[in-house]
Amino acid sequence: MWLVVLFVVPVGFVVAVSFGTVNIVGAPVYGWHPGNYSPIFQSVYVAVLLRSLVFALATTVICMLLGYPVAYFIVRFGGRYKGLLLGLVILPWFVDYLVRIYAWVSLLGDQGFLNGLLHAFGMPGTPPLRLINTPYAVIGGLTYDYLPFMILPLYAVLGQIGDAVIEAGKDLYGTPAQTFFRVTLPMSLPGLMAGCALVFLPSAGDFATAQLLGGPNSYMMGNLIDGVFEGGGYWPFGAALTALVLAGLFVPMLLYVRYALRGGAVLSG
Amino acid sequence: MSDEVWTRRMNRRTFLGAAGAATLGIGLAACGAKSSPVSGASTVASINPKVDGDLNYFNWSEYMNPTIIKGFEKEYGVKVHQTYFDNMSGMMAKIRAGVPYDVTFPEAVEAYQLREGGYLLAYDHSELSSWKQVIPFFHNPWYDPQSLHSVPYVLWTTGIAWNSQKVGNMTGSWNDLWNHPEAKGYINLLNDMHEALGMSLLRLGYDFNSVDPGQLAKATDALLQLKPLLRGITTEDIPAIRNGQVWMEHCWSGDFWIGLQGTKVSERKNWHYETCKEGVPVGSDTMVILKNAPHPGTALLFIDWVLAHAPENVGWVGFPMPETDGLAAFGKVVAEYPTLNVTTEMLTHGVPFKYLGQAGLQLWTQDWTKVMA
Repeated sequence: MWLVVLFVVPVGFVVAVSFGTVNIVGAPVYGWHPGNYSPIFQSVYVAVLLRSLVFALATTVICMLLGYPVAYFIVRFGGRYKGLLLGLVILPWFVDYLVRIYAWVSLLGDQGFLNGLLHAFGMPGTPPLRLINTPYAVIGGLTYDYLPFMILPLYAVLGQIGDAVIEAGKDLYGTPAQTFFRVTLPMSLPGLMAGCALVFLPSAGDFATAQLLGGPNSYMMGNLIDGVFEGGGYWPFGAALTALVLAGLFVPMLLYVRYALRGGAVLSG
Repeated sequence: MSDEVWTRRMNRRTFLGAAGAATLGIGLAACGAKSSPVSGASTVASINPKVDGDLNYFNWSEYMNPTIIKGFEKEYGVKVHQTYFDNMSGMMAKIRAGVPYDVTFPEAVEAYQLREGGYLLAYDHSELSSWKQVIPFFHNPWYDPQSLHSVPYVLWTTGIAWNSQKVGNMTGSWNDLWNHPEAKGYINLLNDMHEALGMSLLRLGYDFNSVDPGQLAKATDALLQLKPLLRGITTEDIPAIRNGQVWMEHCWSGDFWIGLQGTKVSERKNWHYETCKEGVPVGSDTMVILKNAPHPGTALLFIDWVLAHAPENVGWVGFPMPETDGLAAFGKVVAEYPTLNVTTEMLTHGVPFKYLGQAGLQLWTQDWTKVMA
């Protein structure tokens, strides 16, 4: 029921707008104009869609590599500080998302903190490194934005693996590595998958990060769509682009839902 | 004005506005095609210029000197409830949804759309004691014949800002953006469809508001050629001047001025602003009273108050106001930077932003999105 209200209805509106026109004050007028879709299959937009998916994939992989050890460490070695450590992971979220990205701007800027440091250590060039307005800055920013989404579900599943199970692995003469890859990792897979879905999907649709940290060749689909809706563009075209993104995200989403329905996921998909 | 005051200032179109995206999404669903309200010729209302309640004010944030608002509250014993919009799309969505604001600040194009759509109250401007201050150019502007529905607010021009320590040979032409390969990676283009694509059209000798598909395609190609030289496509034109991340940028006149105030005094002399010979985009904002405004009397008094206090406002917002005192005061504010001034002559020869029409808007959006991709 909630899925219908919160998901199907809004998507329905977007699709309806994408086939419509606008009136004099820019309000959508519903109609049947399939021609709105003809420009969006041009390679230029498909390339941006692919770029967004690649950025999101890179973000997911980095979040996985960074998030797993953090969650593992908190669960296994956090002891009575578990709550505190988890709190530290969530703490930055008390600050507005955009403010945090602006903070990155001042860290990575040409005259920012990092370049200041490099300069102080005698690295030549003004600036020593072009950090901001690059694809790397975008992926770095996305990783920072969504890392907690990876850590939290991993923390949840790792916490459920009893010490006894891991002890058992060692009792059966498993090396620590074998125990990890044959016991811990498979058992934490549902959390890992949930974390991947939670990081991948929003980062593929993100736009604020690329707007502030990216350059002219690192804009994502979210930027194009934002540009149309917020920049006074033709809304039906923006809605058609949105539909293209939804279609692009539909496949990975479907894969995850299938995985979840088979009973793999901790979070009800 | 002290530096502290300036440094906290942001571009009115600053990206923090993105927070409004969520709101807009809801607007998208909520404002489906209702038929537009009564359109056609409005009858001229007679508003009694007397306080009829607190004022609901709807503007960009940081776009009016707060002393003017405080002074109004004190003078008339009313409260000014301020609400801000982040962009014209968001403003239009809220107005379409029927939110009852008293005084709103649309740009000329949106004022045209709202007037055509029948959202604006027409009233007798002789009720405004300061109307005579408004320069004749705005007594019959293209977006509002006879100026029955609107009063002009501030003006801006769009040009090129550059750092003469890094870039030389500026020629007062839009070609300057294309012709400085040595500044590669240090040039910004405004992330504004009409400004960017319109500028490219002007450079090629076409109309700023052209909806000819062939001309638009050429303008788009030209911007795509410019793209490899760019550092960013952004409306963050103020910090770009302050943090030295660009050497040259497509820039709003008032933003150049505000950006300059935040730079070190020793670096200010390196920064310059030029308008371009192929055409100077001159934009303007307006003050309007919506038809569903609950307090038109207070709104009228407020508009009059703002006109009367123009000299207080222009130095603060960094943009001139098109009325006698406001222009004179602004001329003094930017005495060291005559290119920032907006003269009556520029208004006559400058190019206005016009409504592109539904089909035109569709074309522009597609072409601009290609540039952004």
